[in-house]
Amino acid sequence: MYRLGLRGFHAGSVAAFKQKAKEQTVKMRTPKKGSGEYRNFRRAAAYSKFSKSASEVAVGTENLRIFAAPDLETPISEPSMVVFPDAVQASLVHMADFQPQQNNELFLQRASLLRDESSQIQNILKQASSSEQRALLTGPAGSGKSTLLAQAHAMAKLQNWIVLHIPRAEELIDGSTDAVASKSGAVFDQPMLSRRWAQRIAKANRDVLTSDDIKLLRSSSAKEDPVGSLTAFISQLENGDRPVLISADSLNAFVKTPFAANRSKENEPIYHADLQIPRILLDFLSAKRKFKHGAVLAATSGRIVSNDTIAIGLGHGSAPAYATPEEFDSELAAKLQGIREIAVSSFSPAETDVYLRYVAAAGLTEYSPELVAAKYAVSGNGNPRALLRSCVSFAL
Amino acid sequence: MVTNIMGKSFRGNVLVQAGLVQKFFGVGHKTAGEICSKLGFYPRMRMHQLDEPRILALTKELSTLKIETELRNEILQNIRIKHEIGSYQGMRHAQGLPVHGQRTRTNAKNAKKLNRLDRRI
Repeated sequence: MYRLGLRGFHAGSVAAFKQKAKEQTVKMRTPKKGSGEYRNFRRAAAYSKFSKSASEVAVGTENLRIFAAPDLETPISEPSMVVFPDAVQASLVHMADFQPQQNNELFLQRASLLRDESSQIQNILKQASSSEQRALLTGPAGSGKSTLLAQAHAMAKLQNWIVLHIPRAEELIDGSTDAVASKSGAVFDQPMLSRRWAQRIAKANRDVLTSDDIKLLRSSSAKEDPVGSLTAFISQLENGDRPVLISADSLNAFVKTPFAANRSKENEPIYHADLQIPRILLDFLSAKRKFKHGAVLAATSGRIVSNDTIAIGLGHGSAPAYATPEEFDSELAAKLQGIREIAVSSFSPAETDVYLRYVAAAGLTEYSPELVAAKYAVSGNGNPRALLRSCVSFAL
Repeated sequence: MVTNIMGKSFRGNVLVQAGLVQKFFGVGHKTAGEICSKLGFYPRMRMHQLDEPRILALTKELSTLKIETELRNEILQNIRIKHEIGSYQGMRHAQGLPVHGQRTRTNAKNAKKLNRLDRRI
């Protein structure tokens, strides 16, 4: 292409161009101001398949074991690193449970640590048939909320549950998809999102769904009537007695921006609960709608800075008297009442020990009891993300 | 991929709302937002996603607005009227000096550069 392009030029201008090119100095890009973190590298690393060249940790040793269906019967008493069976992992991938900021590229296996909070989730799934189970995972950034959601999905899949997961609640309201006023006018349908969610559900639950379900979801993913098909599918689940887990990550996106980026035809802002998919999620979260045998799990995101709505909804403190909807969303807080809070804390020293043994087995650091104490301190008393990054970024 | 709307060509990956603001004189963020909401274009919709009926609807909507040449002519006409009725503002336009009482000992650079009866808009 380059040569062909030059053929048309006058010889003199080509020489001038060559001279100019030789003289031209290379302009260095000025570094961006900020924390000094090179974000583009992090993003590129997450999608560069580095994990293929990571060293394997032997499965079945004290460092790593397989968590299969029989393990669900025994309560989780001690922390341990586990890896889920391949079929379950495939479902987790379809549900977007492994996220770029989790540094999964450092390991060949997608292992996670079973901890105190995991046993709480195990109990929720166990008791799902007898009582109403709604829980919200809260905690600081990098404490492992999304990982615990992934564990919940894996446990549910091991028991052949149907899992409906929304990986990023902010995508429901950020205007990246359409919102069309429904015929009744009360709700704004989200055809594009319905289609995508139906595809995700069908892929992640291929083993437990019947052919009729798949057909219904496929008709949803086709361009026929995505909204109607998805609504019909969820109503079927609601009226049937199959076990269902509905979950969402980054729930505090609704708190940060109560109104969606989409607007009505009259250019009026749309409240998040008036959109079809957030409404489905919040109906189940507030127990307005229920599965006969099922659970509802949600997690907040440390990435999204939000106000006190969720804390007040969970019963920590009282509602401010003169607050704007941006400062406090009373409607959402009311929906969160009665939800069990699972406060995800940092790793304990024992959990840090187990985790660092695994990290050392993966060849990222060298294990010693002193290292555990040092890393525990460096990571701010066991914040999992800080712990891993401290192992990778600088050695002690 | 290029999308053509009312004689303007847009790169495919440009947001519809931003593209309208960028290319049409007289269409700002507010108007563009209103048009997109009315036609059911979601905020992150891009030009390449506009199919033929949507482009027609958009063209129809834009044609009801006073934009581009029509708006430019109106502005020039207003300046001309001010000059013709002998107003101070008209005179200042003709002199190429600031119209709204600004100082001229210093500054007034833009006015000296731009203000004239057949002002380029």
